[in-house]
Order: sequence, then C-alpha cells, then structure tokens
Amino acid sequence: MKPSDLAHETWSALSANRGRSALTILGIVIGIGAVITMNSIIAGISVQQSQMFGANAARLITVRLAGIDNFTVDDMNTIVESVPGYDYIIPVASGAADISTETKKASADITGTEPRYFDSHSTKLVAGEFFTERDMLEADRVLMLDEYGVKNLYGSVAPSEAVGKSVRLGNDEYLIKGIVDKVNSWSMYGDTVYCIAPYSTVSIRLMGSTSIKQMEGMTSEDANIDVVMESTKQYLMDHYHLGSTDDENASRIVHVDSDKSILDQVNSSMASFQSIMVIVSGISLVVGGIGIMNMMLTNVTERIREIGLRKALGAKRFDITSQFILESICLCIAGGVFGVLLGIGAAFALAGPMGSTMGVMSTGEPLTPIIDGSSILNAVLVCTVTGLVFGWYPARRAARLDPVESLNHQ
Amino acid sequence: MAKYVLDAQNVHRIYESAAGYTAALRGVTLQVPRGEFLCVMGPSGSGKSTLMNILGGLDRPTSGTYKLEGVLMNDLTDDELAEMRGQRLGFVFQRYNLLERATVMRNVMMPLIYTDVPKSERESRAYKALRVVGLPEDYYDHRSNELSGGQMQRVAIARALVNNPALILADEPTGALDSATSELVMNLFANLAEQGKTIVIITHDPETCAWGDRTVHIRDGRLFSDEEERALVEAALKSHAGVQARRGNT
Repeated sequence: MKPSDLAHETWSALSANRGRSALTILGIVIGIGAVITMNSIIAGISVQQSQMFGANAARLITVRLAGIDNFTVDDMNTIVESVPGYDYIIPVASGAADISTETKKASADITGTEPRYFDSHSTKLVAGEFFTERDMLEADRVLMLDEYGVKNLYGSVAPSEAVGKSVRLGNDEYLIKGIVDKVNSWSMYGDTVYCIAPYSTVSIRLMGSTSIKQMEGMTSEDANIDVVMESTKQYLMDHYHLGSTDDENASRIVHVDSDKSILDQVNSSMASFQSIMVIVSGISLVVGGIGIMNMMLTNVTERIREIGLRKALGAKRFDITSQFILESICLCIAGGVFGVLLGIGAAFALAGPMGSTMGVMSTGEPLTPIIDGSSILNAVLVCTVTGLVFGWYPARRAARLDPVESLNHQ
Repeated sequence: MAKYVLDAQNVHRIYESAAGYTAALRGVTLQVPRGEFLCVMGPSGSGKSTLMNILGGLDRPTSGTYKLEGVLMNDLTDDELAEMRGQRLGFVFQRYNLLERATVMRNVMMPLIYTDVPKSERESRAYKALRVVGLPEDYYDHRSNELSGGQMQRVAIARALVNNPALILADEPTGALDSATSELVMNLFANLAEQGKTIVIITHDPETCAWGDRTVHIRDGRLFSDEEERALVEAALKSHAGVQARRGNT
C-alpha cells in the first residue's frame, strides 16, 4: 500500500467520524495546550527577569561591608589585583534626600557610583548624556533620572526637556545631566524619585563619608562567579582579620552575593514548576492516549466487516496495522496541533493574570509569553509517540482478525 | 499454465469447538477449467460458505489440497494468501460489501491499492470495469450508499473485475435483489463468462444456477454432480412414496 493511499484511506476514515474524532482528541488538546501555555509563560518570565536584572546580572558581584571603616578606592582596587576573575570593581553608595523642583517635592533615593555602573547594569540612555569620570573627580552636582522620575517631578514632559533643568537635592542645586530608561526595578512604583549621581558627589555631599560601604564587581566572562565570590570573601576576611568565612558574625561584616544566585533561585523555582507541569501534562496525555485507544478499539469493532473486506481484497496484516496506527497518530497530531494553537492563545490570554499571580517583579512591560519552536516540535513528537503507543494495540487487534469471521460479522 | 484454474482434491474442513468436532466439508473434489461458469448449489448449512472461503483463500482446508492456478494454497502464509486474493481472485458478496463513505470509483479501485498497479493505471482500469458492468458514468462520483441494490451489486462486480482475476467467486450474488434486478446481474455474469472469465457462483437458488455452464450440488459437506443429485432425489422420492403407500395400507 502506497503512502498516498494510506493517507487517503486514513483521512477518509477519520473524516467520516468528525464529531467523535474531535471529542476523542480533547484530552490531547488539553494536555498539549497546558504544556505550551506554561512553557511559553515560564519562558516569558525568564526573559523578563533577565531583562530586569540586565544582561550582565550573572557576572555581577555585590560586596557589602557593614563593619569596616575607611575602606577606600585604593582598598577596593587591591581586591581587583588580589582576587583573580574581576574585570573591575566600582563603589556604590546609597542615600536618601528630598528632591524638589519649583512646583513639586518628593523623596529621592540616590545611588552614587561610577560611569561603568551604566555598562554593568545595561542601563540605556534616553536623553542627554551619562555623567563622566570628570564629574566623579570633581564631585559635580549632576544626576541622572529615569523616565518615571521625570514623570514624578515634571508630569507629562518629554525626557529630553528635563535634561539641563535644575532640581534641589538636599541643600544643593543639581543639574539633570541625562535621562535613563530605568534606575531600578522599583522606579515605577510609588512617588519616590530614583536617581544616579557620581559616587564622590553622593558620598561627600550627601552622606558625608568617603568610606566605601558597598561595591559592585564585574567578573570576567570566563570566570566562575561562585569561586570569585568565595575568594573575595576570603580575601576580605583575611585582610581584615575577621576569622573564618563560616563565622556567622564575620559574615555579617562582609557580605558577598550576586544576582546570579537570585536568578539561579528563580530559574530553579521555574524549572520545578515546569517539571510539575510536565508531570501533570504527562498524566493528561496518558489519559488522552487511553481515550484514543478506546476510540480506536471501538473503531475496530465497528469496522470489522470493512477489515474483513480489505483482507479479502488483498490487504496484508501490515496494511491493516499501518492504516489503524496512522489513524491513531493523525488523531494525536491533530490534537497536538489544536493543543499548540490553544496553548498559544491561552498563553497570551493568561500571561497578565498568571504573571502577577506568580509574583513576578514586573519590568513595567506586560508579560509576553515566548513561543518556543522546540516546544512545538516536541509537542508534535510526543503526539506521534502517543498515537503510536496507544494505537498499536487496536491496530494489532484489527490486523489479526480472521477474514471469514470479519466478513460474517453482523 | 495449469489446466484447471481451481483444483481441489479431497478437501476436508473440520471445525473444533467446545461442543466437539464439526465436519463442514467432507472430501470435496472439484476442478474448474479456465472459462467455465460453475454454479455450486446447496441448502443452508450444506457447507457452501465454507467451500467459498476455502476457494477464496480466506480459509485453509483441514486436509486435502487446493490449488489456484497451480499454486498450492494450503501452505501459504496469511500474507501470501492475501496477495493471492488481491491478484488472482475477485469476490462478489451477497450484501455487496461496499465502503459507504467511499465513492463508486474508490470502491472499485480498492483492490488495486494493495497491489503494485500504478495510480495512473488504476482509474483507467476502474473506468473499464465500470463500463463492463454498464453503470452510467454519472454515478462514478456518487457514494455507494446513494445507489440502488442492483447498482451496488454492479459496482461490486466491477470491483471483482478490476484486478483482472483468474477466478470470480460470487456468494449468493442475487440474494438481496428483486427478480428483475437479479436477471440483470446474472446476465452480466453470463456475459463475463462468454468473454472467457472463470466464474464460480455459490447459491441455494436453482434459477441462478440455470445461467451456469455446469452445476454441482453440495449437501452435508459433500459435492454431487447434477446426475448424482437427480438420482439421490429420485431415490428419496421413491422411498417417500413407499412409506406413504405403507401408511395407506395400514
């Protein structure tokens, strides 16, 4: 029997029972739909988180020093020289002050750092320019706002119009040097204005201390971030005679961590969630497959005379087996295709509610599900295998029917 | 080329069941030369269907030999038997056995999908077979369940002809038809026989057998020629008359 004949016979048999075929594949549709929906949403969440943390999140180490005074830029630079695996380390200071324009006053959260911060955090410039090394050296009164900050202070003014304006921060006037896309993940919430200013400006003018309390280190691309973190901690412990890294007290003084661990944790939670979904979908597919087998067995019983006729007309066992198996595979693939379409539709429909239910820190953008081609391919493969496995027994039963008994079947 | 299209020697078919053994055929010997139109006639339960199944390669004899065009069918595997059926046999059933969901053309071409006949040739063969049975071309795209009984049987005969078989086996081909349609169908078989087709019809109907070249009778799994059957009937009638006479005297 030629493949084209097989395909024609299969189509003819399935289309003769459209209603029943449609009901039979429901289990498969739901199973595959659930997998595609969850995979797409989880992939969307992962991508959104990568965007939220920035492209370099997995390479960034944060060091907080709680009990070390007079930690200078020189001390910071010795870490880069002593601990292998760093491209650079920059200081980070955090401060709070009131910020005001002629018409508006708000609380401000200021991050003081170096220009390389923009690079390590993949911060994009929207208008104006980034502050420079020179601003750093001279502790210039300049700052960067983000679009949310501009909106908070000036209402619906274009970011470019805010550039060059003066704002009062604490007791001094500051020049808005540039507008970036986002200072941090909390920018869009509440009335607090988040800004970034040169480290020296923040530490000297706002904090009144030059001792570095927090640093961010960018590791080399080929460095093992966990090893670098451990080495950094060890170096600081040794250098300041703080004892062992296992010492709980010492760990409070020197705290080293990275967004990678957060990302790993989130990814691990997502993977666990995905595994649960795969198991649930697997169960659904087995139930769907049993539905297909049941329908195929009913089909064999209803078509016993047809099977007998085909055998009388020259059909071999293989011809009968392949026809029934192909019917089963086609049903499963049809279920898979509808499942994929349903899954894509459901992913877009549920992305918003599910994204917020799962506690995702939003980037301000609505969650966009990512439709992965390989998931679709896998769905089709899984359906083919399901069709093969659950269609095999009915097909074998059909092929083994006695032609005489089949022809005489009432 | 074998002398006989069909050559069955001392064929027995015994069924085994929980109740014991049942002999459906008891030493059947039958030879059909090429081009003969044979009618096997017998009452219900005489072994007609069992004989048809064995002649059609749907079943195997318990003992004895059966050759189709010189090929010993006893030893063939299921798939080899299927190949023989597909290439050398044409079946016509009492209930037509057409696929309702398929068109007339697809029904007629069905035996060819299990052979190596190229697709391009299948349609022309189906057209030819349908023209032989005289079904108007308007019906070729109709589904089989849109046809009358006579038309369906013509389609079934066309399907039996399409693979140009060595033997056409028909089981009660007029059993489901009215007398006028039966005559049309039997006329068709007679025409095919005239064209040199070897035909075996199995029936209980003497009128159907009147169309054949030869009739053999089957009774209790045994075959009898016309003469033997007549002698048996006459002997039975005499015996019956004797019994009646004795009853009259008493």
